[in-house]
Amino acid sequence: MSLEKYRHIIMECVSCGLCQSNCPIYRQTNLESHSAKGKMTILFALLEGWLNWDEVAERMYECTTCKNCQATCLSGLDIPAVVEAARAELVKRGLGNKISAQLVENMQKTHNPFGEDPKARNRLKELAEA
Amino acid sequence: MLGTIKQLIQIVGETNVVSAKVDRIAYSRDLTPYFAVPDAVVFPMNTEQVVEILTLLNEKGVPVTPRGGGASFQGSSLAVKGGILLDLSRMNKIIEISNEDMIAIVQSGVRYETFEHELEKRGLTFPHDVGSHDAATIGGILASDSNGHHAYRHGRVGAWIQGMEVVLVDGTVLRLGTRAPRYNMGYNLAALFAGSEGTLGIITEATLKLAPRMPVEATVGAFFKNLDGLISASLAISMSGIDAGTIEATDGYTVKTISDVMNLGFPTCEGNFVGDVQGFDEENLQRKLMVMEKILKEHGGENIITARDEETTNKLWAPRLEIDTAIVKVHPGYREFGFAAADPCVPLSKQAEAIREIGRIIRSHGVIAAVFCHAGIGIIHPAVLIDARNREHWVAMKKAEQEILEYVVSIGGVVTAEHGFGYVKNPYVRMAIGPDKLELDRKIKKLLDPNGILNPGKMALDTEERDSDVGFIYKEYVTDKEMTE
Repeated sequence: MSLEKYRHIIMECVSCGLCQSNCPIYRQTNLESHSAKGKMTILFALLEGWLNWDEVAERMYECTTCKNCQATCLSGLDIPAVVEAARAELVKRGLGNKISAQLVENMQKTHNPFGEDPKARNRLKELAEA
Repeated sequence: MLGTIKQLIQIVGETNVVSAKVDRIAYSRDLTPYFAVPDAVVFPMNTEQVVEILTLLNEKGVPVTPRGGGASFQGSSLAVKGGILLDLSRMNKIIEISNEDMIAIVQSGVRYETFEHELEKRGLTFPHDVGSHDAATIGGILASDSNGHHAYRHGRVGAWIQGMEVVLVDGTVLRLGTRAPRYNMGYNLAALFAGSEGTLGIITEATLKLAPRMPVEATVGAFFKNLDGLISASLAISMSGIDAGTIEATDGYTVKTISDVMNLGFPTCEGNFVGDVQGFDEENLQRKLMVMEKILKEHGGENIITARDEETTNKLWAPRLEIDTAIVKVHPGYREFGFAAADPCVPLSKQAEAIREIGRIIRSHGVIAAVFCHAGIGIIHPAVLIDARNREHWVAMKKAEQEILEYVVSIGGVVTAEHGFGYVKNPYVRMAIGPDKLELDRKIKKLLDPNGILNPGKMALDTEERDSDVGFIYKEYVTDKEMTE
């Protein structure tokens, strides 16, 4: 399991919670599973077999990988690398990010990630020119 | 439990109740070796909801563990008996900051640094400089009656509570104190709830005294060939009346490790001093600095550095703050855990002896010691740095813990002065306070929480054991039971 290579980082997290304050997701929700500290606890539980991959998937994708947690961490732990390793493993297990898949599909069909009618852009252009 | 969760959703709404396993597990850890998963996490948004939640859970006899930032070093906010984890972090409104009354009224989930930033804009401060920074909430700070780095000057947080709103298990909302600066009206119940670790009631709001923010500040570092000189310098600084903000000591091993890892070029020493001092203007500050530097030199301080910029200030504070970072570089896999001997306090005259002896005790068991001291107030923070995958190291930590606490008590000190008893110190509470006070504490608990639902398993109020009702992060962890076998 590729995540196993990152076990040392997961275990080095002391759960001090300093990462919470700069996390753009946690600050919106105050939900611990959105913080880096919470994610390390979740992944620890996963490695121990107390959680399954499908149970952790959504939380792993709820991270911007902005690295604010790493910058705040007293030990400078590379949390984003761990999250990305978890995502890679999720994809291998067929648990890719559903939103990403939708974005790709939208791009293919409508040439924009939002799935909006491309003609709408032309209308905006016309309005701007008028 | 399912029926209870449905009722809780009716009180706070679906988005404020978390019952998915993955989310509950995220609340199962703090800085201790323990792992305790609650049955659900509930986020009240106001006092009225806390009243309804407690009334419901009290009727049903369901354990409820209050939590602020979850940054406890002693397992205080772990749901060791399961039940409901009451997360107050969404009650995070700063209701009022008043320059005229020099107070702030805040909900308990307000974060410490977030609060400080708002106060700074108004020339005010809640001055304790709590070590867990924005990981700590005001409710958590008050419930543990913390100290912070500036406790030397400003005392414990409890003394800064001007008023408090507390919800009792039967739904009673107590309002203690007012905007008026002083009151002397019967028992000081705010002092009782401060430091009660959520075992007596839920703090939902606080009216806090504030201090003026001093406009100029400097940090001073010095290195001592022996700790006796450092401690006598600290005492002389206290006696000089210059009113320093903080006075900190760090042992020589830690200074060397951090200096080597961070390439700071610090000299070899038995102890490193770092202190800060504030002034109401530059002249006032310079006079204080002159006195402090003179005292440090007279008591053997060398390489005295005065910092006014952030980079040098951080360098001077590095020995005190960076050990967790440095130790991993020197000894990969080593780390610190919250343990029972993390915050004893000794008489001021015994500080040098205690720093040495506590370090010796830890090292005698074959593990690494880093010892810090809030030198002006006698609080010692020993860190036992262990390889958590080594079973012998856990045994060493537990042996050291007991020996340190017995030693501290033998020289007239106390078992805990900052972090509180929490869960980790359950086996040491009787030794710390004696049977009579423990019995009285339990009577107070019974009076305010007859069904024992509030933060059960803590402060030896219902059990003097630990390790028996929780999981462990490391399978190598050695339980108290195993220690006696």
